[in-house]
Amino acid sequence: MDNWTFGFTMIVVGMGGTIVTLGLFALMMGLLKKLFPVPAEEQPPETVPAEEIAPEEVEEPENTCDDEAAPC
Amino acid sequence: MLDAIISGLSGLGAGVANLHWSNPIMIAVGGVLLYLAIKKDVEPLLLVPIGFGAILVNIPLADLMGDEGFLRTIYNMGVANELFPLLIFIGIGAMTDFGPLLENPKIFLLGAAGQFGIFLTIGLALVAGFSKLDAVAIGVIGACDGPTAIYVTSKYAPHLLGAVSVAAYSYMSLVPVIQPPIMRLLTTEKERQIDMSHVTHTPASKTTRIVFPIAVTIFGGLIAPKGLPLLATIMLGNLMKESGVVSRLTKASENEIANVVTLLLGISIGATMDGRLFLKGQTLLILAFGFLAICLDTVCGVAFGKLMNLLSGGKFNPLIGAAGISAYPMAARVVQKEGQKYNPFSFLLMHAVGANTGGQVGSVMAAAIMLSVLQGIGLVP
Repeated sequence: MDNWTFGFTMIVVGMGGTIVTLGLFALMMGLLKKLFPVPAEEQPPETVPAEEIAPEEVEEPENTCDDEAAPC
Repeated sequence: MLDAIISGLSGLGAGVANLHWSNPIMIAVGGVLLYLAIKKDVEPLLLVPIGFGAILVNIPLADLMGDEGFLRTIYNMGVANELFPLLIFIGIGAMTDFGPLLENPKIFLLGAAGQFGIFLTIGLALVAGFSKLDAVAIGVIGACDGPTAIYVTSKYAPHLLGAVSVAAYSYMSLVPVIQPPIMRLLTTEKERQIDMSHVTHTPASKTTRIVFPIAVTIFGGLIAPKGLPLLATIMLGNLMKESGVVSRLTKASENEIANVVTLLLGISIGATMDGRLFLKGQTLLILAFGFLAICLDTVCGVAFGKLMNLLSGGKFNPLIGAAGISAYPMAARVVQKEGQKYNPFSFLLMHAVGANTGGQVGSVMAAAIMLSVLQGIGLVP
């Protein structure tokens, strides 16, 4: 095999093979994630968004101004 | 009596008398490597033993790389039979967290694009007149992965081992210098400013993390059996880490085994840097092609990042493509730093780490594919 044929083969099959293989790995990983989803006990604790908190649950901040005449 | 004393004295000066012109130069090169490692903190774990090995092998008549020399014994023990790079790979697997990659599997493709420089450099090295297997060894510098480069070179072009290893490790440490200008050249300021901190993906479960190395080993091995030793060792290390049941083995792999093998590997590589064999125009060409390979990796990675940017409707920051090489975690840090230069609120690190770990698997897979193609076309048994 001459150098040109060899070089061309390496570029086409090498680059193509690498991207196809890693693409297959990506698909496989997506599949694995679907097959084995994160169980509830492994999930981080959920936080309640601020807008979902009912107005009555929000405590009025205490007035910490010492001088009532001065605006806070 | 006097004759005996004179003969004895002449034996003492024999080293100086047999000094080849290339030996002092290589002793100086070894000194430079030690300086870079000790004073500049450039890959000290490798450059200290490599630099010292280079000094040792250039002292005449010591015959350390002779048939019974201790450096030859170490070389035969783990470099000639490709054992040392594989043992290091177990440690690398044990140290790598594939979590960010598993969260967003699509980013794996960047790890493939970041290896294109390997194949393009093989083509260029052939044009420059190197033989086919020499060109393969030179191209693999573009894997940006020392153990892979050493594995392939010691198998198919052992006479280039010193130059290829020094090039691979030197350019790996120069990633923060080499990549940013290329990244800036290929992207617009608007693209560099894209913030991806709000983009999150589903995390992978523990089961997925355990099945991943097993599945990759089986599928990768079936596709490119010739490169299975490379893929299997990195995945074995990762399986031990993720399973969590062999913590003693995991710790030994990432500490004691990796440390001892790094020392032996480094000194063996240094021992291949005999001035009579190393100081040739060919070595300079290899260093130049190695540099080119890493530049081409970055170009292809960023270009692929731009393609992902296009397909995502401008939501993907193409700088992340530059992290698709195997230099972990340096390339990811470079992406984060460059992104924050143009948008202080941008946080690309986790995406870049995903691409970077993809690059680690990508470099191994590219080498595995390359070896299988060589076997397929009948160039190697």
